[in-house]
Amino acid sequence: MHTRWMVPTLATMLIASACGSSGSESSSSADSDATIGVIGPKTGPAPQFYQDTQRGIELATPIIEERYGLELDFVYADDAGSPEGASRAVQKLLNEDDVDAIFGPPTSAPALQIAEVIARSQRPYLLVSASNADLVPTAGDKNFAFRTQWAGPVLNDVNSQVVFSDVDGKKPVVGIAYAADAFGQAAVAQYQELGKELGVEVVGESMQPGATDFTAGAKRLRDAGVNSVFFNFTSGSDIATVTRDMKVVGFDPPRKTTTSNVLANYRELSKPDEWEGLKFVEREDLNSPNFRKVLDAYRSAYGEEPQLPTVVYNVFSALDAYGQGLKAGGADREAVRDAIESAHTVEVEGSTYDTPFAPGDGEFYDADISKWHVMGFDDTPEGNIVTDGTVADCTTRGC
Amino acid sequence: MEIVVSGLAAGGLFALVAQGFVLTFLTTNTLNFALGEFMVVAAFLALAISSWGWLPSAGKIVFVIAVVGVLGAWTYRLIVLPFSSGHNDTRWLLSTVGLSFIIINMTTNGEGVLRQPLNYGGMDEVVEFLGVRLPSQQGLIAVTAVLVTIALVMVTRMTGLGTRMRAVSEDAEAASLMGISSKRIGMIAYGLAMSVVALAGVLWAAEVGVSPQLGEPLLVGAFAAGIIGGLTSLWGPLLGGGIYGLVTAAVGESAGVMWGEVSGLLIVLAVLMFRPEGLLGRRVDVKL
Repeated sequence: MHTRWMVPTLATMLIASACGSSGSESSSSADSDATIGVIGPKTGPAPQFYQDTQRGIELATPIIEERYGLELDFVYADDAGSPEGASRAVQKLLNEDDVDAIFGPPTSAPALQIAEVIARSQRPYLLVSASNADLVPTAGDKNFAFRTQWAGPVLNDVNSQVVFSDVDGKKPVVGIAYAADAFGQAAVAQYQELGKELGVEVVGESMQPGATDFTAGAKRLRDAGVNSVFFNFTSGSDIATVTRDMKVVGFDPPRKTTTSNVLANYRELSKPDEWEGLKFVEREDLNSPNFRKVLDAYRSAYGEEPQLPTVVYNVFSALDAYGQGLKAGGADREAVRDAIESAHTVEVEGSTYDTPFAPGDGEFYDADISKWHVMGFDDTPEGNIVTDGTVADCTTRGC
Repeated sequence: MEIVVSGLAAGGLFALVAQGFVLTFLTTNTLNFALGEFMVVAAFLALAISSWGWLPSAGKIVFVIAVVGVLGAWTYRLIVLPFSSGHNDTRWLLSTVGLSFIIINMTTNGEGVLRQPLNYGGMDEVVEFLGVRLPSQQGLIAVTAVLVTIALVMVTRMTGLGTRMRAVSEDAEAASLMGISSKRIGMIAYGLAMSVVALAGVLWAAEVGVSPQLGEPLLVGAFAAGIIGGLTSLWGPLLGGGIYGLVTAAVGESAGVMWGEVSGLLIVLAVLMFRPEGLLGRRVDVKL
């Protein structure tokens, strides 16, 4: 083949490769009550967040529309998981589509990138997954951001009560295996600070997201005498790498804890002897009848389990809050915001949450450990989720 | 002993991938910077045919190796050769990097980034070797690296093809005057190299899962193994991989994972400064 064919050939391949990575989809009709812009990583490093947000919206919308007599439209925009992508997406949604509210990017960096733009545009900013504390201001001007996911510091606060509780009646030696990214680094800083306050030794070992080897880190945690280890990763596959290599080096501490991110892609890559004794902490009990209703609806609609069940659930609560706000405030976006803030309850498939928000408080969940749950997996190859009880029970009887 | 065994075992994987660099550099003086992505292609192809129940696992792996080998040969013909028209023409570097971006983009957009389990080609057990616990798959890959190296050395020394490859490696112009087609030898070398890389990709994917990021973390280690051992010696990757694996394991365990990787790259820098042809590489003197 002559060189002159190379350029068009490469150009064609490049265009083909880029085909799935841009643009937006919409489902709008002329007589809807509101159009909601949804930003998420349809492409990029975490498409599972986009998929489960979209599916959560598809499942929850008919319920909310019927409950409040509304018609909602959605416009989806791909941020490819990057702050730059989120900037482009939000400009289009605000300026071209003129949306009435935004479902924010599920990861914190893109969500932070556009938070100020949305606040200036004075439209409700609903966050169902991003956990960075700065996304939801608690003071100053009227806050348009409302989060139905836990905030990172709240999760760390609750988790730490499990991680730092005594092992065999003695203070533990805590090990943090964390992703070398903003999510992991923020967590390890908070745990190390807490360790200083409590007089507990905290050892941190980082791993690049997506790395396939953690044996050196596992050995270092083992050799440091760690007996309470916490895994702080965005992806379940990273947790799979860590637990696999812990098994390889024979490191099996009495307490292994992580976040519900373990639900995404962990069990597919691991084996029962790797998740034996592994616990995760989550606000909702994933085995509660009401949570199961959401999961059953998902399974029935899509024929599979959600990768991120809590994101699906959080979409339900966010849409219920927005539906109430829209019913009360109508076309006045500030009135919608005020109504969300002053909602008496939010309902998700039979579960009710009283005074979910308040002036200066856009956070749905607080750190009350009697409402958070400790869960793990059974020893079947599927690793069904088993609920151990609340975090309060766990700290009382010994975790 | 634990560090030695686990470091050498990890080095085996880097050595196997590095053979992909050495084979192409030896015969064509080019490197395929999309090497890691050929591992990804192999892994996704292996995943795609995993439902072929009529074909045993070994047959599936051979099929993947053959297909990726053909892709490798045509990559040389279409992506490398037109951009390497002389010693001063290094456009192949950009074209292979471009190819890697295309593959990453296509696999990420088409398959997503979540790792998917590959249900064949792997062994789950953790075995004890010299008193050290080791994933059996890692041991298998290390043994494979040694066997592949021996096979490649035998092919280059004991077959007509090997003689022609060595002739092109020594002096492509003189070889072409003797009727040896350097283009064809280049395609064969790329085909062989990508077949080896495909084997590494499938074996590693069986251990860690299939994803578009499969090759990326290994590329640095493989390149380091090639540089340390020497890109002009088929034995080089084994030595380079062993040294890189050993140093990164030892420093990683004593000072932290991040410092382990840094120390391995410092060795690469030291080799480039004091013995740029690599520990087993051939020094080429130019008569003026």
